[in-house]
Amino acid sequence: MTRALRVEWLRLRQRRAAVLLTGLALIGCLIVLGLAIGNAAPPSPAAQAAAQAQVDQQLTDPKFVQQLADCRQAVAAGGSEQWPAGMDCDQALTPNMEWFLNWSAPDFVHDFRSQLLAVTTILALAMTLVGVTFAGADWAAGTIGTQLLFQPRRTLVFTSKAAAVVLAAAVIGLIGAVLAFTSSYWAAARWGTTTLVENVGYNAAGPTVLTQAALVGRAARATAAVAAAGLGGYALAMLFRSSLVAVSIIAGYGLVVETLARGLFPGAEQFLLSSRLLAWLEGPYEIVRYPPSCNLGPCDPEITTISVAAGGTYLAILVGLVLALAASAFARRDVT
Amino acid sequence: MAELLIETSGLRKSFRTRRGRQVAVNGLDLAVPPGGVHGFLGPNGSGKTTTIRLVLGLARADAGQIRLFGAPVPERLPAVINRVGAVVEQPRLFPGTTGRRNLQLLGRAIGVPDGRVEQVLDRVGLAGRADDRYQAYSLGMKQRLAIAAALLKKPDLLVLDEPTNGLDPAGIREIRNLVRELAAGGVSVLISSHILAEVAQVCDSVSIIGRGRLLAGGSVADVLSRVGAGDGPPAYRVAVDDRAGAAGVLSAAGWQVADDGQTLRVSGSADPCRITQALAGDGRFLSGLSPIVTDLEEAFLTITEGQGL
Repeated sequence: MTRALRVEWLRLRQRRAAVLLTGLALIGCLIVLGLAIGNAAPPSPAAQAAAQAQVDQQLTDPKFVQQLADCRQAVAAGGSEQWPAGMDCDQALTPNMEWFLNWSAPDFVHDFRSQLLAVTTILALAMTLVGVTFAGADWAAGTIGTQLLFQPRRTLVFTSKAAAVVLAAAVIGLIGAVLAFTSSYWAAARWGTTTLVENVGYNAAGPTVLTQAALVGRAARATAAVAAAGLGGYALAMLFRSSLVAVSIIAGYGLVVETLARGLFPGAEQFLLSSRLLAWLEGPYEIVRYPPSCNLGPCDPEITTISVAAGGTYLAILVGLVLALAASAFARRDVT
Repeated sequence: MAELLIETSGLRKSFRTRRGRQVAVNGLDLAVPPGGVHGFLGPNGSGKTTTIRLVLGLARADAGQIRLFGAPVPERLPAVINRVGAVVEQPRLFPGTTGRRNLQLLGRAIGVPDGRVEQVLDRVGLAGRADDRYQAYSLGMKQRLAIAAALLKKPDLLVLDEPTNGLDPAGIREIRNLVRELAAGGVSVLISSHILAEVAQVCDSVSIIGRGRLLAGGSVADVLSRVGAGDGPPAYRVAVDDRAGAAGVLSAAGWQVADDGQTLRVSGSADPCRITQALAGDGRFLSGLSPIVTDLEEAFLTITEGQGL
């Protein structure tokens, strides 16, 4: 097995399509992270001056002056419907520069989450295609048959190829996670905003204190998702013996099934791959739906929460099923 | 008796097509003896490639038994596959990779040292082009590289399926010489082809199949004698304008006459003088007359004649 894996690993590394896709994906990740780092930089003196000018202008605006006076008067008189008692009118209404800068100091946990999600999405797509082309090219060129003339144990051939794809995708996924961590931490560290707290979800009672293990776990889940994407692409191409068919199925699902299901059957959203993937990557994922009764007045939305375990189980079953079908077909069907 | 290299019995394989199931191999009993070059002959679509695929484990038989070096296929194929080198149909190697790298990757999968790669490249005359990408090779070079790959294992049996397809005359001769050299070096070769003339020059034994069945098999001499060549009276090919009329005259003279659509084949103690005399006596004059040298090709045509192949 080791010998076969080593050969497949070599072959994968030498495939131009794989190198190109991986390179493009990593460049895409660097662009996303670079933009995020750029957004974390403080505003320029010119932007600050422009914002200050807007503050000054608003402070002298008669409407603002009148509004502030109304607020103070109402609060002093015990509060009103618009200005409740105890309200700090000056703090709430007086403009400050941040209102006009469209900038806030970076938040490590929040940024790591969003950047890891972006990076994982890019890399998962790329690794899916790498898996697809790695298997599809063998079928297109007919080299599967040649390989079987050297190693007729089909399970071994199938497994070693799959292992090479998983290994490559996992390495790339890990690189992506490290990049996301490094960039978000580096940006936040300049502002001292690296505290491990986050506030997630519709029902969150307040900030949650995170541990470093939770962050590592999140990175590990992202890495596993990228590896699973590569494996899924490989299995699809092995099952259908064609890159084109595999890519069509993936694109068809993404563009048609997901879109239609979300549009026509909102209740089905929790069963979609994207929802489960988000649950696996982001932690508990909440799907918030407003029932038709909400059109008549205030109401509570229906919230469906998908846990990390539920997301992971779904993904594992899905990839496992495709993999089992592909392995079975490869073991039984003739190779032309 | 020496162990047969390949032995099949009652081998059957059919494929699903739009027109229903098509039988490619239909109860084939094949025996390939060790040593020399064995020709596996048959017209296009007779089931040669399918049989080879079945023997090499690339396809699964519907029924029947296959033994390769005595080991049942596919169950024990892994135990004997390293004794077989094969090129099935057309060479299929990794297109974006150099010739040398292709061989290294295939060799490493079964623990063949890289040094062996240089030996086989040299053996097929590709050492000078080994660092070119496979996709840049000519068909002849691809064929030679595929044979080099098959030789990596130092096989006892080399299976070449239509190895000269698409090759120019020089390429065909190269392959033929290579096959001769390998056979002389102790490698048994199974060579399948529908071009009899090229195979006839190198074969020691043959199996002729049609419609997935064995029609004749054995040493070349056996097969030739079985169709009446060599030990029977000579036959002649007669070119004449009115073939039907001439056939009547020659038949009346006591010879067996067959019309192949262009000429008449006359056999049965015929000789050129008496054929000419008989036709001239009836006022018919031939435009050509030549003895039929019965070779493997002629035997093949005779055997497959009337089989609807």
